[in-house]
Parts: sequence; C-alpha cells; structure tokens
Amino acid sequence: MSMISHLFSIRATTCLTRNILRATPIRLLSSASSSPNKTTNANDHILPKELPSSEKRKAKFNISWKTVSVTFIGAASLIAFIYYLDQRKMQKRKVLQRAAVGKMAIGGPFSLITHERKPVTDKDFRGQWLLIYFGFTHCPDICPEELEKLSEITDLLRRDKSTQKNPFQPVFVSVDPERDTPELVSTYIKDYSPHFIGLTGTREQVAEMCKHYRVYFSQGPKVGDDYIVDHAIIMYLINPNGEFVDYYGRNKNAKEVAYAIEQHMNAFKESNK
Amino acid sequence: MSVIDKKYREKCWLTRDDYWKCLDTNKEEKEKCLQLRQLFESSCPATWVTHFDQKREYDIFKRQLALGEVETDKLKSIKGPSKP
Repeated sequence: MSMISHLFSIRATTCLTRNILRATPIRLLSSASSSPNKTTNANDHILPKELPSSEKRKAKFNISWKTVSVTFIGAASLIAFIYYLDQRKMQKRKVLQRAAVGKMAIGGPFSLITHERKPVTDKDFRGQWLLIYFGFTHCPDICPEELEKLSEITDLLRRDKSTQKNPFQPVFVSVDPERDTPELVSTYIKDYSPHFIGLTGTREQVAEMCKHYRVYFSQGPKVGDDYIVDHAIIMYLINPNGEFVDYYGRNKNAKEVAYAIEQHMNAFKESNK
Repeated sequence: MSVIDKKYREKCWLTRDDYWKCLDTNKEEKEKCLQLRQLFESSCPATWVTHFDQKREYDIFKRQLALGEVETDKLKSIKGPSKP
C-alpha cells in the first residue's frame, strides 16, 4: 500500500511541475522573439502580453515535454530504488520473525559423545552455527536422503570464506543409542561428508536432548533383532550463541536451506557488529 | 556387509527399484515379478522390505487420491467417524 501512495505523490509532483512550467515559457520566449522582430514590426516596442496562439503551442511542447520526461525518468528510478529497499527490508524481517518465534520454545543443553569418543556438551559448540539432524544408522531411506542434503548444504556454506569467524558445523545425532555406538556412527557419517560430527550416548542422554528439541522418536516393531526407529525428520539451526533459530523439513531442498541459513548468518553478523 | 555399508544400501535400493519398475509395467501383478521380488528380499533386511512395501502402498494411494480414483468407501474408512 505504501508503494501506491508513493506513486500518487510522485504523479502529483509531476502534474504540478508541468503546470508551473506552462506558465514560464511564455515569459522566456517572448524576450527571445522580440529581438528578431525589432526591425520589421511596427508594434514592436510594446511587449506583447501574449504570444500568438501557434507560438504559445510551440512553447508548451518545447520545454514542458522535456522537463516532464526528465521528471518521469527521475521519478521512475526513485520508485524502483524505493521498491528494491522495501523488498530487502521485508525479506530481512521475515527471516528475523521466524527466528524470534522459535527462540522461545526449542533447544537446550545436551551432553553426548562424538563419533571419536570425545565427550561434548552444547557449550563446546558456542561460536559455531550448528545444523542438527536426528536419525539412526539403520535407517532405510530417509536418513540417507537427508544426510546427502546436509552434505550439499555444508558444501554450499563452506564455499564462502567470509563465514569463517563463525564456522558452519553439520551434526548428526543418533536416536538409536542401543545400536549406534560411536564407531558405527563414525563409519556411517564418513560416507556422507568428512565435515560431519556424529553424536550418540546413553538412552537417557539422547532422550534428554530430544526432549529439549521436541524431537519425537520411537522404536518400531522388532523383526528378530532388527527394528526401524520412527522419528521427526527435521534439521535444527542453532546460532553461535547456542540459541535455536530455525528449522527445515523435507519440503526444502539443499539450496533453499543454505540460502535461508545465509540470511540468518548475515542478520547475526549485522546485529553483532 | 550390513546396512552400515553404503554399497549394501545402494544394492538394496537398486533391487527395490527394479522390482517396482516391474510392478509399474505389470499393473501391480506381483506374480509376474516373483524373481525380482526374491532378489529384493535377499538384498535388503526384512524390516526394510516391510518399510518399502508400506511406502509403495502409500505412494500409490496418494497418486490415486490426487487423480480422484479412490472409491468413497475407502476414503470414509480412512477419514474415520465424521465429526460434528
């Protein structure tokens, strides 16, 4: 709506300008035309109050059209620039809105061990952007798909060297602690990216983290010793302050997620200058 | 070799896709694809076979729903008792 009011105000300015200029050319041209007519016209000494109608028409077209088109071009570029700024502001606002909504309810402390058997907590990841995916190694199709996506996102975000101050760290957390030992997780994630960190732990540790992240997971019916774990398929974005910022489901592809994360990274950089 | 191995997973998916292609060309007649079915079952763990079978049923149902081919009785049974 603000765009329309902008347009109207500029049209009004253009109209006003045109009307003002219509008044001036008469005075300007009359002083010019009086000199060539001096020697020939008897009524010359009297400054004509009005130009003959044909001259008047010519005067209007000569000056006001040029000025109007210049004003128009100026107005059009001004509108385009305002529109561009408006769009950028809207985009930034959208991204920050999502961040604000999510911050309240999701995330929290966790204490697990990495695929290299190193104990870690959420505090060890401060200063990094985390994208956390919850899954399990015996997953038939969804986890491999999502981990391929996570690998692609990682490559896209690590391309930009400017993010090095707060590096991007993809994390895989197992929701199948009974089977997923650190060694198993290590073998599994290496197939997707050398940059992944895999986390696992005791059932209590995993359950605790899933409670904070509102991640649903449930062991399915057993066939012999085997079973499939039903779980939420979401990637969670955590900022360098350890705060939950955004989440991404199966409906977004790698490029879309990487782009969204970049917006958050830029917003974070801006607010922490 | 187990599911942890990427090559194992990929072979399983390949046999699954071959089996599904056969079903596509034979209008879901399982009798015509028995050999591929056996290969599929031997290449994947039992839980995965069940999972993929359920996925196929669901995908076909979704497609039929989108095309409006599902009978109203079936729809009713899925929607459950009507709410006031």
